[in-house]
Amino acid sequence: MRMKVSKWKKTIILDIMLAPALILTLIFSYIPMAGLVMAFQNYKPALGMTGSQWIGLDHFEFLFSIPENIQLIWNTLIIAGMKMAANLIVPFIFALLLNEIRRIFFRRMVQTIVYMPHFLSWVLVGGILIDLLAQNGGLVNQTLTSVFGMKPIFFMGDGDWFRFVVVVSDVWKEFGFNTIVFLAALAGINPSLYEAAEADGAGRWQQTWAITMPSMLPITIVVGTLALGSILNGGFDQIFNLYNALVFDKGDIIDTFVYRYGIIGGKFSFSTAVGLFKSIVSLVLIVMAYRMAYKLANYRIF
Amino acid sequence: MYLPFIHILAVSFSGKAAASANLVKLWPIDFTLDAYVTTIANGNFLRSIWVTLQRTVIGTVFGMLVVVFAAYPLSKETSSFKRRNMYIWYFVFTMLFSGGLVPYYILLRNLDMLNTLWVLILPGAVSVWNMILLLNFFRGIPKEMEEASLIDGAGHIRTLIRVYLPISTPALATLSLFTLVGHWNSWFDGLLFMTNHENYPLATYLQTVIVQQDFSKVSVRPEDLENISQRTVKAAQIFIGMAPILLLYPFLQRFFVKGIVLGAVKE
Amino acid sequence: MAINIRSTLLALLSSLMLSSALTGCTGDSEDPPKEKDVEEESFYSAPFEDGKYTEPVTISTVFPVSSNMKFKNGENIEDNVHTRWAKETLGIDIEYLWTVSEQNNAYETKLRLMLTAGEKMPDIVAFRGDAALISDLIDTGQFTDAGVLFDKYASDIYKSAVAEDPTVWNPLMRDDKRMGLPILENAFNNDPVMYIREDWLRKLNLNAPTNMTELETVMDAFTHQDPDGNGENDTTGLSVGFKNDLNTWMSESGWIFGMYGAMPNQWNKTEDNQLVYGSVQPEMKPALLKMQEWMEKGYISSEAGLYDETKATEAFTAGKSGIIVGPYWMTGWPLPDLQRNVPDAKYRAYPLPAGPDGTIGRHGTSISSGAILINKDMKHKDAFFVYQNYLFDHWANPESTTFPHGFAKGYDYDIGPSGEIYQEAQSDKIPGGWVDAIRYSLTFDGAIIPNLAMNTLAKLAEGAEPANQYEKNLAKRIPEQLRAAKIVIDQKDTVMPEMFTGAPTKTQLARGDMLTRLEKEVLNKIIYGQASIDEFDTFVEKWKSTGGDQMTEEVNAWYQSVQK
Repeated sequence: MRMKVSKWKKTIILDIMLAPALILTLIFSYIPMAGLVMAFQNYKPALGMTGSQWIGLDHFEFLFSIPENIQLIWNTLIIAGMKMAANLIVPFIFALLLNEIRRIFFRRMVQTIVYMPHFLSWVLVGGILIDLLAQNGGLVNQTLTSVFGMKPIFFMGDGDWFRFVVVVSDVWKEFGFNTIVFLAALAGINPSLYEAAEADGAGRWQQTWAITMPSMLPITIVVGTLALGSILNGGFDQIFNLYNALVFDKGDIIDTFVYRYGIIGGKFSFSTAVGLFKSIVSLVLIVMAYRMAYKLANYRIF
Repeated sequence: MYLPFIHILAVSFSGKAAASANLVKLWPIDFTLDAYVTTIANGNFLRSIWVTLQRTVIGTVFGMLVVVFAAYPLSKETSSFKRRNMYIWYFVFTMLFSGGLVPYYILLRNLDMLNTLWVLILPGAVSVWNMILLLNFFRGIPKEMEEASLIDGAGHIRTLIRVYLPISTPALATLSLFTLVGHWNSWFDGLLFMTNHENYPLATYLQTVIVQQDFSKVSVRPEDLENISQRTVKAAQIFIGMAPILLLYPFLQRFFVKGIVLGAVKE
Repeated sequence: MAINIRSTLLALLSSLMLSSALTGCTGDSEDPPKEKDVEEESFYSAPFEDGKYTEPVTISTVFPVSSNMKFKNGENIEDNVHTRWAKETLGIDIEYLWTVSEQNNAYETKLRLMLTAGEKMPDIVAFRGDAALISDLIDTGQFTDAGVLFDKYASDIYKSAVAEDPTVWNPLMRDDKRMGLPILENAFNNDPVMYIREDWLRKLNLNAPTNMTELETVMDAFTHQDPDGNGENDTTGLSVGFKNDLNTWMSESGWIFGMYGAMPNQWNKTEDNQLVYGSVQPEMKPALLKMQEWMEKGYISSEAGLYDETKATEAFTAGKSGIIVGPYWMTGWPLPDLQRNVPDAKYRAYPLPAGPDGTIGRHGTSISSGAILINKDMKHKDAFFVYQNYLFDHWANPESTTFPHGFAKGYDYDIGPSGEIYQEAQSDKIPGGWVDAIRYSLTFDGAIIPNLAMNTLAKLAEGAEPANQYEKNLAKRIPEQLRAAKIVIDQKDTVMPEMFTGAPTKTQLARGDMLTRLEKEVLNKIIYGQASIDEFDTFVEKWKSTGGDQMTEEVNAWYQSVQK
């Protein structure tokens, strides 16, 4: 009994430390979640949440009843999945490479430069991409035709190429920014480990393989798992600025659809329902990843 | 690979006509500073910088405090802090589910927070993403150091400040940077929750400089059209918005290397 | 715990909704007698003398601050030359509950939030845009029958301006009541004309095309005969951009369909007074085939489907394209860029050419783009009319001499030392620069008499002497603009107006996006040659069976209801 009390006493301070975050979350996240009821209503602004008609799962049924929407969900999964993988691998490798640069000034410069595109808006990037990838006179196609003797590729008007463009341009824009997390992880590795390895006669490559990679594994798993939370977000801003009617079948995603659909009449309850669907899928995936990491690697992601 | 950047920079220094006809490639045509002048001379520029500075500084400090204090207990093993699992899922859940804009707006209005600086700071203060990253970094700290500190009679708060924080500078610098950039760039909250456009933060203000009219709906009058199609202004804004962060970044980078302290403390 | 929070919030919400509902109800039962009382007392709801309230009355409202709205002298929307004018001239205090920058539909979103959160509406809501929002706002029951007030208070000029096209009331009708006032716009403002590189025509010894054959000859020459003389094959005949729509506001292609009697993306009237959706009519086919052929031959850019209205103008203003179609105001923007980029270039406005059987068709301009809603609980409902009447009688009325050069001296005009008038073109001579103060007005453009501006411009283009100050001001416009306006008016019988102006119907709300997506995909693929023309018939079948027929029925039901 006494033990218990003292233990409680010992840990109560931890609860107190958590209190501000708990309270802020309660107010700004949980209370507004009451709005999720709209997903099950035919919400009419004039009637409000209490007065609107309850329609159960109609919005969800509608979402899945249309064949094109299934295609949308696939498109989203494919685009977001490819982005997720690329945005994990490229920054990871880049961080490793950057870490090998000894000249600190040069390293900082590279780091600053690659991180700049994060600040560009998709409106601007979209305009540039259209010119860059134009069939006639676009820089990329000019290179392909004159240097490699290829036929021009209609990057923006061919569904498969379009997906490719979406993923590559997203990586281009964000990899510098995403690298930062990995650099922080690299900086946290205990240098004495390297010293010991060097004493054992391990080469650079072996050091990277035996020390750097395993040390970065946890953070990579964490970042990867958290990215699952957006597996149904294809990147609204980007797609919205890049797509066109020719690539609707392969490039249209859930969010662009909800936007277009909602813009006539601001359909709050339908977008809430779609949001809820996306949340549930993400939750399932994250729980699975959490379990797997725990079972396979005995690692608690959070 | 960075040609697009140079292109945008060139556009920002070019004359309007050449830029909107897409004639500018990598070097300005009809060099002019007009785009920068238009943006800066436009009414509320200085004021919006002030709002952004406030929200960024207060928001980052406050956000980091909350996250640091939350990440510490959550980095404990379940064996020493049982309730952590419950708490962590409480947070993770909010990362995935949200009630949407409408109830959020009602809440902020009922709390009387609209049009105050707090609306830009408090709602986003708890970044679960940052929290999870930080708790993972905290876990990397050798257990012996924590135990030594606790046995010395130091409390948890003291341990956090004396032991954890000094050796986590790379992680703290990273997360501060994320928070800071997030505050600096976010414009949507300013647009919707500031009821007076004079209280807009910089990012929101920049959004308002470009004319984005739906010509199909309004009576366009030719005499108003002089201000339209400011591609140059759009380009200039990127650099105006980005410059402070870029200047700050190399300075922050120093902290990424400082993690070496870890070895030093060990002795 | 979670349940607790939820129920607390629900309670909170319901109390909110309830209270607004209650106020709505009481307003309902109390209003009529009140109004009667006022009527018995006097015409106006407050002491009124010499066109002015003796004790200032208040109008509360909300306002979108657009980005081309500039302020000077440290003013803002709450306090400026316009608000002071309203107070001094009319005895009206304008109070802004909130203002928002008109970006990314922020005004619309905020109005929706306000509506959804059950907030009390201001005295006046003026909104241009989405008909569905206007209809949702009306449905809150917080707004009054504006038609009754209009009949009672509106001035003759205001009434005749609205009467120029009675269909402007259509979107606002509820059970034979006019629940809002239309915001009027300039007629023919967005109707297209054809701009052609005059210097290219001369250089290649061609005449401006008047029919399809001539048009194709010109486009072919512009595309293949190196009209810019740089020795490279880098020009296109025609600039169009249909990323958004074929029938759109600039760089548009609607007229190509018009040559065959079709007009996509809008509801057209048939001879037997039915409304049909343009994009699924058989007349579309030959026009689509034409566009397919033009793209194959390089007359239009192979990127045209990726270009929006503005992006498509680039080639023309860069001097790389010979023809572009759009409104008369393109002469103000973006066409002047052409001469800046290519100094010896010259463009000229021409009438739209006729199709194979002589047909010409173009889209029209809606003369009403939004609505003013008046709150039931507004204390001095007449005050809005005092305000709006004044602007119609003095600002819009060409005979008036109240605003000879602009709205306010030192803002949109100034007078020099020897009496010369400085206006926008002499912006640098006005201390602090030219600022378009009428933009601050409650209904965004002061007041507009729909058919006045373009017809006057056309008249002036024919060489008529400006008869009054209003006409003198318009006569200062550049000649090319007058010419374009005249062509618009000359061809006004070719307009195919959008006939459906109501709020989106049930099927439009539910299926509209799916059908539009299908339509855009198929039409684009046909133009790009990625799909054969036969797929058009498959598309029409699918369109009809997955909601199109139902939509047509609903739209016609609406049309019948407003015909009465």
